[in-house]
Amino acid sequence: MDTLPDAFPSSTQVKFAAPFPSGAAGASSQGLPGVIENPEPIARIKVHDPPKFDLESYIANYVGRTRFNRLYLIGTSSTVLSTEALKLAVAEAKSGKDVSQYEKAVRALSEVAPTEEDASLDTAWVHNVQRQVQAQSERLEQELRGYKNNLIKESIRMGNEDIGNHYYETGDLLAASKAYTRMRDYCTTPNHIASMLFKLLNVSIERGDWLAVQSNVHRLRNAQSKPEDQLKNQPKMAAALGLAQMHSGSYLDAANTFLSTDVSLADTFNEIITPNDVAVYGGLCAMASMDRGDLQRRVLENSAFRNFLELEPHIRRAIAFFCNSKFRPCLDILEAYRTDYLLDIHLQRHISEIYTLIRTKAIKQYLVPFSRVTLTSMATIFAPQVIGGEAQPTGVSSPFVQELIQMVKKGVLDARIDLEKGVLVSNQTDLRTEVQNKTLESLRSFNEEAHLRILRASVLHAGLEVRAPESERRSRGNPGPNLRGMGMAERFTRGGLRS
Amino acid sequence: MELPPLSLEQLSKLAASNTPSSQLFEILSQYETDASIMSAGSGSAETGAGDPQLLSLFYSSFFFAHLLTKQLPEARALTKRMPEALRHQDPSLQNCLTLLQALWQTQHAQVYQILRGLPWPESLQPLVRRYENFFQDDTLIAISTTYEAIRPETAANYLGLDPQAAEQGDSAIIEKFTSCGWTWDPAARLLRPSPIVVQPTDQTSSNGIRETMAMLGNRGR
Amino acid sequence: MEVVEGLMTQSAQLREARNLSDQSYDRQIRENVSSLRRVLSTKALGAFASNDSLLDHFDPVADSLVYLFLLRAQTQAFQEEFRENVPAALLPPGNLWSRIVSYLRTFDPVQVRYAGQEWRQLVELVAQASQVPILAVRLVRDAMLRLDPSCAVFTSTHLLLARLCLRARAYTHALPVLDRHVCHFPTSTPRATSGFSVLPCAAHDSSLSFITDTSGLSSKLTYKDYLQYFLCGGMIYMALKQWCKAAHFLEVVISMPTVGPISMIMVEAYKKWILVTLLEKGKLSSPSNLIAPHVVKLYQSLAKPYVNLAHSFSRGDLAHLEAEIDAAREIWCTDNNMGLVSQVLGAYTKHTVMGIKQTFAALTVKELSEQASPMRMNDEATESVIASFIMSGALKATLVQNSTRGSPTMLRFSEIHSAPRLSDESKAQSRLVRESQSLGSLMNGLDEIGYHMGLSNEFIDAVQRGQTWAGVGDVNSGMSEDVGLEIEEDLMGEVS
Repeated sequence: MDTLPDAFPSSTQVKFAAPFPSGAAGASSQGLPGVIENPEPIARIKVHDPPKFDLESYIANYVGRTRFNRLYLIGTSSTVLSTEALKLAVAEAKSGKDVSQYEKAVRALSEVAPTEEDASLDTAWVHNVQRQVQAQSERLEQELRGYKNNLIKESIRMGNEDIGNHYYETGDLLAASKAYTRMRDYCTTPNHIASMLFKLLNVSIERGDWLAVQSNVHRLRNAQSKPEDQLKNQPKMAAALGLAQMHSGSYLDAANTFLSTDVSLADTFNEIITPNDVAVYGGLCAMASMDRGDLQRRVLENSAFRNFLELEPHIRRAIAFFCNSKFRPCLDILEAYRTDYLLDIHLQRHISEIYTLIRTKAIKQYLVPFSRVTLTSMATIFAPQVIGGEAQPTGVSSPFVQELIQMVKKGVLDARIDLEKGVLVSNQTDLRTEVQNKTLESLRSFNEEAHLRILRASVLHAGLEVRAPESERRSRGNPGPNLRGMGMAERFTRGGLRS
Repeated sequence: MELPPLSLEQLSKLAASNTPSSQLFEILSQYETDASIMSAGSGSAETGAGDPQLLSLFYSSFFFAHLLTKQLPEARALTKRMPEALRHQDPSLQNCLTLLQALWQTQHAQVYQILRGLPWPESLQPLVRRYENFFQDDTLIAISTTYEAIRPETAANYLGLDPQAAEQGDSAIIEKFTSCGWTWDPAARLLRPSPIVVQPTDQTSSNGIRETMAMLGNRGR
Repeated sequence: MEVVEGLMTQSAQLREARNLSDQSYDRQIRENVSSLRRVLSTKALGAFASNDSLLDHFDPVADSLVYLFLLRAQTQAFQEEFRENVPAALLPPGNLWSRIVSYLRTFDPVQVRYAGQEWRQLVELVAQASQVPILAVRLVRDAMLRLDPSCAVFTSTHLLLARLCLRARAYTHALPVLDRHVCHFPTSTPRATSGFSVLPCAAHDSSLSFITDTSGLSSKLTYKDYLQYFLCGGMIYMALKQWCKAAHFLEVVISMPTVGPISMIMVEAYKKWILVTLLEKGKLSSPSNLIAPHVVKLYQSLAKPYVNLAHSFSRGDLAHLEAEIDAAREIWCTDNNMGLVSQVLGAYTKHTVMGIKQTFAALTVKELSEQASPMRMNDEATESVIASFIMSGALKATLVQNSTRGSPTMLRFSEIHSAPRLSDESKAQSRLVRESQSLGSLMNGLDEIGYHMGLSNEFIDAVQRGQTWAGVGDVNSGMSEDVGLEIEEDLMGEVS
C-alpha cells in the first residue's frame, strides 16, 4: 500500500481492472451498466408481501443514480410494487441521460405491465439523447486535448473530471472511473485528491467492486487533508467502508465500522446511503455478530450511535429485546421487516444469512441457563408457526426439529435432542469416565508408538532396513552390522561414555 | 499333565463332568492333536480316516467348548479344521454348523430351536444342555442392561421361552424374570429389567493409573 | 558302546556342573557341545544312531543337550536311510515323533542356548513333518515360550509359528506369542560392554543376551522375515476380530525404516490397514508420523481403491460406498481382501448408529431408521440389530419397548443405569492393567535398546518422545490421582 496519495502507482490500474480480468468482461460491463454487476446472472429474489414503507417518500431520501437502481430493484423484486416502482424508474431514467438505464426499465416494465403507456420505448427520446451524449463526449474530449496542449494542470484535472462526470451520468462506469483516475497527476491540493477519491468511491460502490471501495477508503484516510476536512469526510468514509465489509460478509467488522460513523453524516451521502440505512445495517450486523454484553455496551449504550438508532426505533427495540433474552418479540420485529430489507439494494442478498445468524445466536443464548429445555417451549419462541401448524410440532419431521438437528450436527449447539421426552439436553460429559477413557486411550497409543519406535531402532541397529534386492545382497556380503545404525553408538560406547 | 488317550468314554466322561469351561476347553484343545493324527491316517473313502463316531464326538464337544468360552471366531475356525469329509457327512457336525450360523447372526430363537430340536448324540447332550443354560444366562444378563422396558414376548423370545404364553402373561414365565429382580408392570404389560452385573474375576489395584503415570513420568528424566 | 558310555560320562559331568558357578557351568556346556558336535559330524555313533533304545539311557530334562544331539543323530540317520527330508518314522504316530514331542515340551531352556542351531532344526523339522499343521502349532509355540518366555527377540521361529497358525486356521494358539511385544533382533554384540564376556547360561534380564546372530536360535534374517511376521500376525488378529491389535501389527509393517524402495509386503499391509482401521474406528486414520511423507504418498497411490473406499465411508455416503465396493470387486478378490471389505459394510451400519448418538439423546427406532440411511429393513429387524450392537458392548445405549407391539421402541443414549457403569469401570481397570503391563515390557525393551545404541539418532528420538511424555504424564497424573482415589471410594461404596 502506498502512503502518498499523489504517488499512485500504476498498480491502481490493475486494482481497478481486477474485477474485469478480460477485455470482453469490460465490454459487457458497458452494455450492462447499472446495479451491482455480477459475472453470472443470479436468480432474482421475488418478494410477494407489501413492504412497510411508502415508495414515494422512501425514494425521496436519495439522490443521484442510486434512485434509479433502487427503484429498478424494487420493481423487479416486489410483485406488489413492480408497476409503480418501474414506472418511477422509467421516469427517473428519462430525466437523466443514461439510455441503457431507460431501456432496461422499459423492458422490465413491459414484462409486468405491457399495457402501460411507459412500457413502450420512446425511440425519439432515445435517438435524441444518444445524439446529445455523443456530441458532448466529443466536445469534452476535444476540450481536454486543448487543455493538455496548454499544459495547465488545473484545467486538465477539471477536464478529466468533466469527462468522468459525463460518463458517470450516461452510465459508462468503466470509462468514468478511468477518467477520474487520470485526474490524479493533476491534483494539486489534498482537497482535490479527496474529491477525486470520493468520485471513484461512488463509481466503485455502484459497480459493486467492494475491494476498490475498501482501498479508496484507505487512500482517503491517508490523504493529507486538513483535520477539519478529515472530520467532515469521516462519516462518508465509514459508511462506505461498512457497506463494503457487509458485502464481503465480515459482519462484525461492518458492525464496528457503522457504529463508528459520526452522526454528522446526515444527508451528506444521500447518493449512496442515508442515516436510516446506517442504523439498520449497523444494528443488524451487530446483532448477527456480537454477544449480548457487547450489544448492550457498544450498541445500546453508544451515545453517538443512539442518534442513528432513533431513526429506526424498531431496530433499537429488537436489540433491546435480544439483550433481555426476549427472543420472540425480537425475532417478530425482524420478521416484520424482512420484506423491507429484501427490497433494499444492499441488504437483499445478505438478509437471510444475517437473520439465520441472529436466530442461531438467539437459540444458543436461550439454552445457556438450562441443562434441558422442552422442544415445545423452544418452538413457541423460535418457531410458533409449527405449533398448531404441524401435526407433531416437536416430532422428528417438524422443520424446527430438523433445524435443531442440523445445528447439532454442525456443532453449533452443544446439546443433544431427546425425542422421547421432547427436550433438548445440553451435553454434560461424565468427567470421570472421560478422563479414564482418555488416559487409557493415550496410554494405549503411547504403547503402540513406543513399540514402533523401539522396533525401528532395533531394525536400524541390526541393519535390517527394507531395501532393494541388490543392495540387500551387497549388505549381506558385508559382515557386521549396518554402519548407519551403529556408528555413533559404537564409537560412544567404546569411547567409554557408558561405564 | 498327561491325559488319558482320546476315546469315546473319555469324551463322554468329560462332557458329563462339571469341569469348568476353560479347563474343558484346554483339555479338548490338547486332544486336537490326537484327533488330527487319527483323521490323517488311512481310512475309508467315505468318512475319511479314523473312527468317525469318535472324531464327530470330539469335534462337536470341542466346538461347544469354544462356545462355552465365548470364542466365536475361533469356533468358526475350528469348523474349517474339521476333517472335510466328516464335516459334510456327520449330522452332529452339520448341526454345529447350523448353530454357528444362528449365533453369528444373533438369531436367538433359532439358537434355542437348534439346541433343543435337532438330534444331538447322547454323549454330547450334557454339553448341549450346558451351553443352552449358558447362552440363556448370558442373554439374560445382556438384555438386563440392554432394555429398560421389554414386552414379555420379546424377552421370552430372547430366552427361548414360549412367546405366546408370555404374551398372555403366563405367571410362570413372568415369575422367571421377577425372580432375578425385574419388575412386572401388569397395567402396561411390560417387564422392567434390573441390570445384572457380573463382577470381573480379576480384582485389580485402583492405583493403576497413578502408578502407570509415575512410570511414564520417570521415563524422560 | 564306548561312544555311548562317553556320552553318559559327559552327561554326568554336566549334571554336576549345574551346581557350580556360571563360569564353570558355561565352560562345561561349551565342552560338551563341541564334543557332541564332533560325534555328530564324524558319525561316531554308527549303527547306534538309528537305535531308538539309545535314548532310554538319557533324561530329556536333565540331559537336555545329549538328548537333543541324539534326536538330531537319529533323524539324520533316518533321513539318510530313506533319502527323504521327512521320513515316515519321523511322522506321528511314529516312535521318534513322540520322543521329539515330549522333548520339546520338557527341554532345559538354558542348555539349548548353546545348541541353538540343533534346537531350531528340530523345531523346523516338527513344523515340516506334520502334513496337518495343527499338530505342530502347539509344540512350536510352547517350545518358543520355553526357550524365551518374553519372546521379545525376533527369530525365524516367530514367523514359522505365525505361518503355521494361519495354515492350520488355529488362530488363538498364536496369541501367547503374538501378544508379547517383539522389540529386538538378534545381533552380534551381546551386551559386551562390561569388559567380560557374556555367559549364555547366566540369568539374564533380556533374552537378547543369548539370542544372538551366532547362537543359531534363529536362521539368518532379512527384512522380509519380520515384515511377514507382522503381516501374518495382523491377519491372525483379523481372523479373531481383534481389530485394534491387528491395526497395530499392520502399522508396524508399514512404518518400518526403508532404504530405497518399499516392499510389496508393506503395500499389502497398508491395504489391509485401511480396512482394519475403518472396521475399528469407523474412519480413515492418519498413519503414524514415523512414516516418511513420500512413502505415505506412494502407499496411497498404490492402494487407490482402498483410499476411495475409506473416503466414501467417512463421508457417510452409503450409495457411493456400495458402488465403490462393487466397482472394485475384482481388486478385493485379487488382494484376498473380499472378506474384510464385506465386513466394512456391516461396520458402516454400526458406526452410523453410533454417530446418531452425537445428535440425539433419545429417539425411536423408527426415527433412527429415517435418520440413518443404511437401515433398509423393518423396524423390528432394526431393533434387533441395534439390540445386538448394545449387547456386544459396541454401543452404549438402552432400549425401551412399548406395551403394544408395533408401536415404536425407544432408543436412549443417556446413561441412567448405574450398574453398567460400575462394570464399565471394572473393564477400564483391567484394560489399564493390561496396558501398564505392556508398557512395562516395552520399557524393558527401551532400556535394552538404549544400552546397545547409546546415542544413535533413533534413540535420541525415542528419548525426546519420552521427555515430552513426561510432561504430559505430569499433567495427567495430577488429574488421574483424583480419579484413582475416586474409583476406590466408588468401588467400596457400591460393592459393600
